[in-house]
Amino acid sequence: MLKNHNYTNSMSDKINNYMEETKPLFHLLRTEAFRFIIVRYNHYSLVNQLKGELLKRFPDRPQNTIDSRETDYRVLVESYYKAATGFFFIEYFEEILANPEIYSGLNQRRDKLATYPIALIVFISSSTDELFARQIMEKMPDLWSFRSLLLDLKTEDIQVTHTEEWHKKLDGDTALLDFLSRS
Amino acid sequence: MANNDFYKKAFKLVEVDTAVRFDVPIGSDHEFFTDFSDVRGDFADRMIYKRLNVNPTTFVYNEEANRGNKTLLFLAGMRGSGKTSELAKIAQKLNHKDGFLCVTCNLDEGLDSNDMEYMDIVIFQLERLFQELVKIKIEIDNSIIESLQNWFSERVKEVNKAIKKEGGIEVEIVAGTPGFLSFLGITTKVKSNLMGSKENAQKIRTVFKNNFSDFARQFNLFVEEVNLKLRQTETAKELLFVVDGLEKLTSLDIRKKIIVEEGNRIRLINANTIFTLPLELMKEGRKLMSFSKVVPFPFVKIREKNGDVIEKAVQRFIEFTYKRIDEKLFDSPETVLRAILTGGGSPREYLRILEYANMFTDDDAEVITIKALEKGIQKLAAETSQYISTADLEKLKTLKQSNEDGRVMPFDEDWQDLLEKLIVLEYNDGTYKRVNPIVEESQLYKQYVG
Repeated sequence: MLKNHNYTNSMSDKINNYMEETKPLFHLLRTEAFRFIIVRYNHYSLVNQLKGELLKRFPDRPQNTIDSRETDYRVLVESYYKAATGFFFIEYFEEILANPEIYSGLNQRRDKLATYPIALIVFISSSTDELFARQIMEKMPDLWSFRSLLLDLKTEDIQVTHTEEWHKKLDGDTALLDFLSRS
Repeated sequence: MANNDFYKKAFKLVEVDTAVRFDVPIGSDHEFFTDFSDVRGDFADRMIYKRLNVNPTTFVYNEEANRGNKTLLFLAGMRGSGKTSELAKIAQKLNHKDGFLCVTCNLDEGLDSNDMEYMDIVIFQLERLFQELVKIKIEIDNSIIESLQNWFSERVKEVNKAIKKEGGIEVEIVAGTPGFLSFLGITTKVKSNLMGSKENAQKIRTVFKNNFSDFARQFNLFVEEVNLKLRQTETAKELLFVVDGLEKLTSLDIRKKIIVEEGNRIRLINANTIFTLPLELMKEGRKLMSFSKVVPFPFVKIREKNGDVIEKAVQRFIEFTYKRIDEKLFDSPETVLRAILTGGGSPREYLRILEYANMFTDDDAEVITIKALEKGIQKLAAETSQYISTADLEKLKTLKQSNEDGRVMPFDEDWQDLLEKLIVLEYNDGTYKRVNPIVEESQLYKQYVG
């Protein structure tokens, strides 16, 4: 576990910062080019909100999504090359950071990935380590050096997030979840 | 190397995003190229020319001074310091009849970054050399090629024997009359097998490494013959390999193994070679210096240790800026200056700051304003809280104090880590370190270090 500081100097401490955080993103995406964008979120609904808004703003750009929990390196890169353009979302990116085959593969293929005019947007849950960016820079230093933007999306509805996280952590132990929801 | 027309100077804000792309290495013949070599503190490109026995003004190579004693040089610098662009410039300047035939080998394009040994690099060098010779139509004495080709064919037979024993797929080589193209075919085949199955790659390496002295002799004989032909045809005086991309190899272990543990093999190869040296291997400098020359390649020094701005370096960054973005797209020269000083002398980090400033420019704006720049800087500064730890902040506090007291910090592993993460930037020969100005802008740093 990485040592952490006590400061809460996150990128934006405001609750419901979606509008403020995404404004520069939409500006950046005006030009179609390779982009590596890291999005941290405290509620999964923000992932859908962002994807929906990108579709609305850039209807001509195709969207492809990979769920990190259900992929391997080959599937991931082949889907990326096949996509060739548009938006390529990787959800639950924290799972990638736990998989050396995928993260080292992506890192070493950085230059090839960057030849595609794709906005590679990775989503990472805020329940992961506070210094999540350090993990990316240590595990994927070359891809990290090509990053375009880091977003830290927050919404007030964090209670739901916690419940979702507990579901994940308790792996469907319904009795315990029921107990927790009542306590 | 991207030298295409896609990357052009921006005259409208919407064009800025492309003009500040930092993921595209720029060649020395590109309109964006800016020569920073005389503003990198103690570094000067003449150090490289001198070490290669080249006159830094005329770029003429003195082969007499270097005969039988080829130069092996490591150019060591941080990510984003501009090593690739500098090497492209050097290769361009030296590639002429009184200089060298420069053969550039980009390891990340030609080999498997996940699994590589020095042996692979030498074979790749040989393949790249043959490709260049075919391109410039230089013919080499057939007996030399025949000797090399026979030697390679024999080794491949040995490899196949070992593969066959274990029921693997053998390296397919079509026997042909010795010659340029048939030998190029063999090296390409061997190289592609090095990138294929790990089992086969290991067997190839074992056979070649077991015969390395012999291989080096063949390689050196061939290089000597090429040098002779280059002089006879007035193409160049000698060969110079430029091997770039070692820092892109997946793990530190692979990089370390190639550079440090293979030192004995590297010194057997008698060809002028410039390697880029990953920053994390700088600490191995002493070992390397026993058989090579190490030249540190620092960031551009835009401030003296006492904080004074270095005008010449700033002017060069202004030139760098206006080659990419028209002057009229900034609200004032002060905005450009503020961005330059915050970039800390790293071209890549500076371009990132400009990209962020452009991101924070209002939709209806016509210029990048100081307000947009400040927003961009604050955003970048805030991002640092996602990767700076308490332990890092303690080190930064010490560094700040040492710089104020004019003391040099002794090197340790923690500094290495901070340098690799660009939390600390290094200038001169490594004796001058500063906190990245973006980090200094963060609330975290201000609260903790002050």
